Amino acid sequence: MSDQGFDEDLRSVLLEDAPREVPDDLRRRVAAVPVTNPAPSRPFRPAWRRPVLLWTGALAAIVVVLTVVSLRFGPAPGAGVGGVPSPSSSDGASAATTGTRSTSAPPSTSVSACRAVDVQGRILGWQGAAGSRIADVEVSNVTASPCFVRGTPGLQLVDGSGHVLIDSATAGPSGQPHIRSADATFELTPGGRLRTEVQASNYCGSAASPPIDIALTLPSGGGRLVATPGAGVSSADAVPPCLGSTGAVITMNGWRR
Amino acid sequence: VVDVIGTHSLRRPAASGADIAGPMPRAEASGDGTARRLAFERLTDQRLLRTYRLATLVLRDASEAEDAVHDAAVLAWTRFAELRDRALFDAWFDRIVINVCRQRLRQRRVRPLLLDAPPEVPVADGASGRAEREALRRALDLLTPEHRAVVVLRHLEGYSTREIAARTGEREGTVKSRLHYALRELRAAYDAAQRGTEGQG
Repeated sequence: MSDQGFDEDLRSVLLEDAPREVPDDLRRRVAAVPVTNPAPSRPFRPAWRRPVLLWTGALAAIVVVLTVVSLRFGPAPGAGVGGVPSPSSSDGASAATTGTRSTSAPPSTSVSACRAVDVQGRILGWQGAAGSRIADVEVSNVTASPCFVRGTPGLQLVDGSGHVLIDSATAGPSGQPHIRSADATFELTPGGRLRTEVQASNYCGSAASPPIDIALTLPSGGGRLVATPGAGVSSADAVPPCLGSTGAVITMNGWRR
Repeated sequence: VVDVIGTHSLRRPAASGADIAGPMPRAEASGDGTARRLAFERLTDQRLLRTYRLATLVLRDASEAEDAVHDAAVLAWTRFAELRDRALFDAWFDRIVINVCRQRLRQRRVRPLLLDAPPEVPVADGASGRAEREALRRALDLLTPEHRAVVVLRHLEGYSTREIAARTGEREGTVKSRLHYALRELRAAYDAAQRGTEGQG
């Protein structure tokens, strides 16, 4: 008997022995788990292992060092090179290189939310994970005025013919474009850039034609922005493989500079 | 001590560049219990048939598999907040189910129960006979749960060695070795049954 016959018979035996549906009782018991059991909590970590404390401490140390250095060796307080006010914090120092500034409060009233026509999206590269594909996405302000980005956009994986392969509206926890009160606000000065990672998995549809783009629908009616592959970025391995009937997912990390 | 949850080792391959940090929705990250509960319910519901199937084939007992999947769901819920990358949920939940099955078999300390004989399935012309399939079934019963799990994950679910390693918490080399051993045993039983059938003919 050939290997193929053996493989087929083995799979056939497994299929025969496997249940074809979930008993209603089990489905009910599992659905009740979050209700009848204590809510999950984050595990205890000593202070030195807590990222927030670690980064806060590191940030404070950097601020102290920069302050001391600027007081001792720098130009007059408040003036940078050529008399331009220098950043007063590490946040500002980073903003000087990326043209962005993040706050938990909304920006000044003169700055409005970025619309899709104000920004340009680029895919900087694709990474493969176990069953997933991850795009490094960058958006930049292409206007002469500052604007801000806040919240989670709607996400779509789109192929070269404009066909939507995966849509967060129906696939994954990101859902529709939305803003939550805890979301940070990122101000983009002209030319300023923001980054995020968009992860897609389990596409079981028909073959997709390259290039693969990612469409972001900005919250609050900001419009639909399509991030296209940057120079030298291949879409050859951008479509996530089909993993089964569990449904496709597309989601993203929070925005960052 | 069995690492029933296996969160940390599941993240280990991710650290080599295959992961991104925390696509967990902001609502959950900020402690929104309702969002977390809804996410958990949806993810477990999507995965339920596959995990129940896996548990049944590893335990060889559908009723005990129900209890194992329920126990795994309770464990998963209590540690759900630790799973930052929800794309890993399927592998993570599979691993919990497999570990719960292992613990149950260890506590049982007897050979796994044999499944009820399945209904007779008509065999098409040219297909293998019932004797070979019964031999395969008996050989599956005799495998350890670890070996049976890798056979199910490869030959029923179609996962790669790497994906199986993520689900069992083993190294890829260990998975390959287990698959090799398990398939050798199954093949030997299958060939023996075939020789017996031919001898009768």
